[in-house]
Amino acid sequence: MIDTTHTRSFKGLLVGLFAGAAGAVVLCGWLFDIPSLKSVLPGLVTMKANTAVGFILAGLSLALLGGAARVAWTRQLSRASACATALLGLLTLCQYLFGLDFGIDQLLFREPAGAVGTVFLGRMAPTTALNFLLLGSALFLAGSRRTIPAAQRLVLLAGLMGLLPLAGYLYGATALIGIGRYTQMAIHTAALFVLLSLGVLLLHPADGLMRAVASDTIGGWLLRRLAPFVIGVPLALGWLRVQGEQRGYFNGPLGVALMMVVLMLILASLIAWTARALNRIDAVRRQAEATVREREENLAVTLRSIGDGVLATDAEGRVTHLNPAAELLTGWTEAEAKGRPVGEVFCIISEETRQPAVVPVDNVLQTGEIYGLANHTVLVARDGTERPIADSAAPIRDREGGLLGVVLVFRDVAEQRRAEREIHRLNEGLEQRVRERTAELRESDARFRLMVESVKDYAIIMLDAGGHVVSWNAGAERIKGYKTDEIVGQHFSRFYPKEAVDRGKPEQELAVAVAEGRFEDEAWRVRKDGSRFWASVVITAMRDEAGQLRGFAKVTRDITERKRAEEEIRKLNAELEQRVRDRTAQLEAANKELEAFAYSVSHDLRAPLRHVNGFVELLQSHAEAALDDKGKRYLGIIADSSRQLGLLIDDLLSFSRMGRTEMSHRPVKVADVAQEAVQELEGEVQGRKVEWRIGELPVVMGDRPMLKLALVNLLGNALKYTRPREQALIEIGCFTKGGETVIFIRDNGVGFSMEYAHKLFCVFQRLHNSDEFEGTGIGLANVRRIIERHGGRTWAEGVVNEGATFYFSLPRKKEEPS
Amino acid sequence: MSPLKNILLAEDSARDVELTLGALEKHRLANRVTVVRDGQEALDYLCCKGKYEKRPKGDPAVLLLDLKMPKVDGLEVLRRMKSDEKLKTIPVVVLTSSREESDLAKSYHLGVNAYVVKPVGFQEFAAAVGELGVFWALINEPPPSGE
Repeated sequence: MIDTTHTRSFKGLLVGLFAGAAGAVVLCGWLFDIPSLKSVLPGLVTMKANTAVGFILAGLSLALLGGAARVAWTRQLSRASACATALLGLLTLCQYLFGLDFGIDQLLFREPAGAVGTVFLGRMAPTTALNFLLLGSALFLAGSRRTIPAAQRLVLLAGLMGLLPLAGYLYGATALIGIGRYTQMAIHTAALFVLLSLGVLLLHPADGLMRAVASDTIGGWLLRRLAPFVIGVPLALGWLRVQGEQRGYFNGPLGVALMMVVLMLILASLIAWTARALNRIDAVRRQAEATVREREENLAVTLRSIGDGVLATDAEGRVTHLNPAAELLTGWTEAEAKGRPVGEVFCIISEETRQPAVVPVDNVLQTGEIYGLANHTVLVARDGTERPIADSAAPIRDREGGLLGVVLVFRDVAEQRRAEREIHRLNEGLEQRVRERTAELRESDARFRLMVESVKDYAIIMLDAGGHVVSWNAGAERIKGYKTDEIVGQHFSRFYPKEAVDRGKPEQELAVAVAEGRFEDEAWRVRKDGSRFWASVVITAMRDEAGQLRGFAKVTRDITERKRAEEEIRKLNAELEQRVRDRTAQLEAANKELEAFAYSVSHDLRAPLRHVNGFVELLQSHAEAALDDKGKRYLGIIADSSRQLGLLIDDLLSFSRMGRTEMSHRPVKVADVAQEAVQELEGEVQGRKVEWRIGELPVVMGDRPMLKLALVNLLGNALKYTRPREQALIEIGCFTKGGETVIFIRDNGVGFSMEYAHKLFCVFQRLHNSDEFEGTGIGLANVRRIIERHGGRTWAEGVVNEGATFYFSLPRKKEEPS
Repeated sequence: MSPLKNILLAEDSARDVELTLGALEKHRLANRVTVVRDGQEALDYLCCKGKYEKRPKGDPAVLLLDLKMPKVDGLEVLRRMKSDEKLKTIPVVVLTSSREESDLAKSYHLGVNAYVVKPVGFQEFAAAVGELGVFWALINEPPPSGE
């Protein structure tokens, strides 16, 4: 609380100075005998000189109280002035009461006899004296805080006593101005008393009686609002009535009636005005109350709804609130818990030590700071249930910061704790797996490293992203000649020949590996000793999971030997090709020679043969008579042999021609060709019974003359070997098998043993002697040659004395035979 | 009817000449045969050059031409004759041992009038040559002479 006793009161100071000045002015009136200063109006009682002195003293006291109350000597001076004022009043009263005359009345100025309303010349009225006593005492008491209420009561009385003569002056009621026949109170005396009383009251507006007036309660407001009217309106109305009656406007009863009606009207208006204002205030207040209530309800609902327990205490640590969650957790109801010390309701122990833990409320009350609970705290409920909780405590402060209590928020963390334990357990498992996996990886890494290091045939090198050697294996050492220590950290371009480095090959190769993931090449590389080797190189870009380039794996193999071997092979191939060309040329030349030879044979062998024949004939005709039978037989043998030789030569030439001549490739009607062949053989059929059975025959692609020759050969054979049969049967037919057209010639001749079937189609091979069946042993060889040139096959089946079947196949597809 | 023209036989083999003459003799044509022993001689005869410079005028009724001859072979003789305005009208019969297709093809390509392979048997040979001689020397009407 703030001491208002010694606060400055500007109003008190002004009033004091004014009253003092007024007293001084009246004293001047006495000094210079100015009646208007002494009595205001002529015919009125004067303010006595002592009264003026009293006002100066009282005004001084009040001004000192109001202006410089803090300064000690002014307080003393104020009290002295107050005492002097009271003493002045007391002495004058004593003169009245006990009929004494202390000679103080005419001490300063002598009042002429016959003064209006004055019993003892120069003596103030008894009411004035009493008022000075009251006022002085009040001023004395107003200097101390405890006596302010008393001072105010005294001053109120003094003010009333000033007000009475004022009313008397106002209404012309002389009875009010003085008591009986005693000296009357002057008009400005009465006014100054009222003023001084107000001044004293205004000194301490917040204390004593004035507290009600100055308070911001509705009562204070009403007092301040109505007081001026309650005092002013009746005074004014009364004055009007008195004036009206005196001037004869109306008589007494009418005046009273008029005054009452006007008073009622004014009071009614006043009440209505005030009631409206009060209603407004009330509405505002209700609104505010509703808002506050709503807010409180919201707060209460919120508090109830909070899942966490909320416990509030007052400043002494006694429980004021428990929300439902808190009730559940503690086992106390709010009603039961209210007013109990918090430690009784909120009972916590340490999880590990089982010792009671400090309730954070105490900490907060001591320090005014926010406190959290120590970890692993257990709340023991009223029924003994234990729950792990987490909480915090915070101070509750009012608007000025005063500590009103503590709010404690706590919750059951059993679930959380369980989850934490679960997480912990899972983490453990995870860590275990990570450890295992790490061990595996390390082992695998070690294995891999061991493997890489022990590889001798390949240089396996790891490069960083910039191309510097990071790792080096045994193979790299063997192939390139560097030890691990001397090469790690070096740039890999030193493995390249100078010209390759100059052309920027190393960087290009890394760029390709980065762009395509992989670079492969075969090129020269340089060993530590400067020698070169032909290397197979694979560079692979290595990226981490994010795709960031980590470096390169470079695998290099020395394939100098392989390259040498490849070159050797290439050289041999080239030689071989050359030899093939040479040989082909030789063969072509030989072929030409052969052709020339065949030509010579056809011409030159036949000529002597013809000569033999010719001259044998000539001899026969010339020397027929000279020759005996023996000679004639010899000549016949010579002629026969030379004819036989002629056939042989013709067949050989034909065989040779079949292998050499160009063949055409056109559609050939086999049926037509067979018919022609049969006709060609007509001469040999003479005198025999031969049945030809010609079946359906296809159209094939091939060389017509050649195919005809083949058929003539085969049919001629069939005709020849059926000669012993009375009725010869020769059949030509065809069938398809496996993409081939097969044509066969079947006869019922002497047949052959399958034992010799493989010899059938070979040159000069015969299964019968020439005495039985003539022939050169070239016909079937020629057939085979023709069919093979058409891309087909030949074969035969035979049974001795039953017959033979000769087959040849031709490809069905119209493709070029070899 | 103009006087009978002779037959020109170009043949290097004496034995063949004898056999051919023998065959022609059977048909009484041997006396009208002139024999030359190689291609060059045949051409000389036809063009009245060399030792035939002073031979009687007149082309032979037919030239029986062997292909395989020394100096200038039969095909060359044929080629020169058929490319010569004066000689191209003289009938030429190739009489040879060769049955080679290439020889046949070349001969006909060059414009030969007949191609006969000498049969190995003498009877057949004699018959063929005799018929040839009769046909070309007696039956066939030669082209009008150039004069």
